[in-house]
Amino acid sequence: MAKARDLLQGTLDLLILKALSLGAMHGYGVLLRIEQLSQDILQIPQGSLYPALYRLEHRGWICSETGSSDNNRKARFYRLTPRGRRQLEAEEEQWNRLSGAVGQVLRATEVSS
Amino acid sequence: MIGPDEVLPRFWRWLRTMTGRRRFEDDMAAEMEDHLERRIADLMDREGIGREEAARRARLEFGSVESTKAACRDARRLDLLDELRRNLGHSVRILTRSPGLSLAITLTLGLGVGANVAVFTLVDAALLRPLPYPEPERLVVVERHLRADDGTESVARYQTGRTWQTLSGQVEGFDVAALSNSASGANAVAGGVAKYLDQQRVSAGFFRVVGVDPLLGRGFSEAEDVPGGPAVAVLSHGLWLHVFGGESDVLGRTLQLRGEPYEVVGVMPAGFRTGVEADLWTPLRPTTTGEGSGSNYLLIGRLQAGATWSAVEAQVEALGSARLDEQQRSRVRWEIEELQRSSGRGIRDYLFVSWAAAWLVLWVSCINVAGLLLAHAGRRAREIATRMALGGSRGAILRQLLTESLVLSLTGTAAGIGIGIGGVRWLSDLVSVRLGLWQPVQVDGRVLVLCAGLAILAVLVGGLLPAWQATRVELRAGQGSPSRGVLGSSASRTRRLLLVTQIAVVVALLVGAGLLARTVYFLQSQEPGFEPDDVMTATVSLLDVRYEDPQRAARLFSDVAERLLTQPEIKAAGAGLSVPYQRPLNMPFRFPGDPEPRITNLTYFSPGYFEALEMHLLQGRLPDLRDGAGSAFVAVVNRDFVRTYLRDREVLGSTIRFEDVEYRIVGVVADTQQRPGWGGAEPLGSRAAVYVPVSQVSGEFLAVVHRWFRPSWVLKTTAGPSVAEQVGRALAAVDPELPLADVRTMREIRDQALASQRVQAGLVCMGGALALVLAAMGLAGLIAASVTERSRELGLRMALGATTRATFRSAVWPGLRLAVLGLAIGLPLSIALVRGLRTFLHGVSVFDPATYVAVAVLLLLVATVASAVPASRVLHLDPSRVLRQE
Repeated sequence: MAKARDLLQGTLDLLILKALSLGAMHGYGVLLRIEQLSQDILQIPQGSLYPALYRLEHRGWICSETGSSDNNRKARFYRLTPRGRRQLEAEEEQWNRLSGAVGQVLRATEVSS
Repeated sequence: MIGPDEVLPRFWRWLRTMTGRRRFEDDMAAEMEDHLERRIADLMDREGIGREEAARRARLEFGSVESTKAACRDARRLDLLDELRRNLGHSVRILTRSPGLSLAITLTLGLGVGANVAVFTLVDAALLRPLPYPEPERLVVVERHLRADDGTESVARYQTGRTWQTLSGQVEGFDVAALSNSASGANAVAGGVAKYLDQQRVSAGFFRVVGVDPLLGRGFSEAEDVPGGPAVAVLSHGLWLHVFGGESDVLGRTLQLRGEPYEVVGVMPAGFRTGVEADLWTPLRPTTTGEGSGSNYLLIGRLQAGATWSAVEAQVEALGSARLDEQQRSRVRWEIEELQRSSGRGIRDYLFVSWAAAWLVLWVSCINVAGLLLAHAGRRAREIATRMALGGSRGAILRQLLTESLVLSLTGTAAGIGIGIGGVRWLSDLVSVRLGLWQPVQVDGRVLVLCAGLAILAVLVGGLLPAWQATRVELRAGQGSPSRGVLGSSASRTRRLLLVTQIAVVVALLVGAGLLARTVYFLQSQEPGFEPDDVMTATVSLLDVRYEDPQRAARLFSDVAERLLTQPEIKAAGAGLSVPYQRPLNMPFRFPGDPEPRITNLTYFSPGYFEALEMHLLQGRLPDLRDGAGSAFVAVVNRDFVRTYLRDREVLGSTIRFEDVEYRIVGVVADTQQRPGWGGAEPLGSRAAVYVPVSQVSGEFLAVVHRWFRPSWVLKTTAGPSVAEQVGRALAAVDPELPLADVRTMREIRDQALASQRVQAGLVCMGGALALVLAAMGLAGLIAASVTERSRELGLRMALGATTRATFRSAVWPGLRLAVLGLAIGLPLSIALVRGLRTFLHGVSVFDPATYVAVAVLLLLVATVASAVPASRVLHLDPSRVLRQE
């Protein structure tokens, strides 16, 4: 169980970083963008979005500022920091390597069976 | 993982969140509210449902807002803050529940921190804090380095009038000024009030060189700073306020200084001070004869913009040595040295030794605190084990224990600041006169920063180790029988190790203290050469035009002595330029035909001087009233003079010449102890000395020497300090215009002469005693704990027939073993450490066996008592009860 949660958490961090790499936005926007980019396959549990955002900010990967949004409401906007951008690149590469490797393993299994 | 470059920014973000906690909470709440609003709007839009239904679904999707908030706080590590707050409350409760322990730790730390605060404040004022002048690093002193035949080098900080003349205005890029080497007390009448003031003489340009402009008026001009120049004065801020009421029209007004009117030309700003505490400054009026023929001027200069250190030094060296012959040139080197470093020259080493001792005391007190906390944690092992068994994380318990030591170190530091401030006051009274500091001794922000550092150190050294040990308890042991040793054996091993370290440090401190104390004892108990008991001295300034007449001075001395002798309790009375244990005047002299002058101490005396001191006459006679201005000039020399200069000559009848006055030696007296100004570094010793009758010296001589020396009457009396009143009455009857005399016992003069040594030895001894008491407490605590832990074993032994005596011995033995182990490490350690003390020791070797043996015996004795007292609980042990408990 614990391992699955860790994986999920790491993945969520990656997704948030990716979403923010396309431009600054508020928390709800991040949620919508991830759902949109994954064509509604990935459903982010809304309760875990904010702790992840706060954690990323604490680590210095993203930063936030208060600004006014579309409907003139005040909202907090998150933005990727240069450190965050480097982190995103590193994680993306790792993810690709990992998923590539997992894919290979799965394909090998199919052939032998 | 967190990289080292990330620790600080992350901590910074944490601190910002922590300090803006309310804002953080508000923002967080607003953000989630905003999220829900957007979701509701979306849902209504997309699904076409009513607002109420949308709100319900939005909340359902989001989950618990409160637990999300908690998770967000955790993400920012705000849980640590809340835990800290909880831990603080818990710590205060725990510590107030064991007040004995808290008090012991607070006091222990307080003494360690206090010693450091006091000594650091002195070190700071003397050596570290930049002087309160603009660009103090460009203020320098001209120094003369002299190399002796044996290769040792001494530094002369004061220069002659000729050197001043050579350098003044002659060195490019170097603005130089001269000042007299001390303030002299003077009677003054200002604004209708008679006052006793401290006057310092400074040359033209002095205030410009130090870089402080007068608040009102001006400094001295070149025209005023010449012999016979106009009498002008610059006032200190304090004198201006107290005597002239701080009025701005003070310039041009006069004050009477020693009967002479001085015109006020300037007032210095508040807080301005030089190396002495002066109430007013007058022109130096430098000369190359008299005062200026000796090394009596401090030359301080400022490197001007663009001037380099080496260029200025090269010029000073070239000008200074131009007057010297080839042979002198090879021995004398001129240098410039930063004012602060130069002023600290004499005391730096004394202060560093005291500082090292203070650090050792702090170290010992930290170890002691660690021992106390370790024992305390041992008693709490059950609580800790229970918490860990219930799933408390080790980190959390560690943090809780560290918070406790933080609270303790804070109370300890607070106590230390109090103790330190008291200590500073005591210390600066003791030493400020001798130190010649260019700034006041005060506790300031730097000291508080130091304290914060010490508090953190105390937590780390005193708290971390015990906390670490305490969380290593074995869970089951804690849950078992309470009478068993729940503290793992490694914890008590740590405690023993700490104690051995502590004892080793204590041994080193005690050896150092012993050697320094023996030095002071040696210096104090040297054969004084006279009878110091029941001798009072009364010192008065004769810096007065009227007493430039030797006959008048001689009459003053004998008239006052005569009046005093009418008192039955005064057995003998006379006067002299200086008395034993003081630093006497040194003067060049020649034997007839000598090409080079030699050097000796010189004192004038009036009849009764030798009688009052009961100085032993070894040969010839003592001059009396018949030896006056009209008769042949005679002198008495001491034994050291004979040993140094007249070894193979007939002593009585030899003649010696001071400048152009010739004296015939008629007597030899014993050597007395003096503070030598030349030929060696010991604080007290005897030097060649010549005594001449005051009626046979010249008026110019008196005018010069009374600038820096205040003559004293010496009285043989059983009356003690109460004689001051009679002296005052006799003085007033003979000359009512003379200032009040300063009456002291001979012993006080001796103690003053040894002030640095006494302060140093006193501080180190106090440190040693303190550390010894702390170690004894630590040892007693350890033995008490081990008796409690071993009560089952000891009880069993007794039940099996061991005698009480044997059981007692087996309880005491571990303590002694630790003491012996500590000694075995401490003695070699002290041999290594006290090498640094070599220059401070007189009359005792660094390897003085008596000191080492005494320290070893003292330590073993204290260790025996400290172990025996808690071990005596064995005597009340009832074997049958111990067995029943099983």
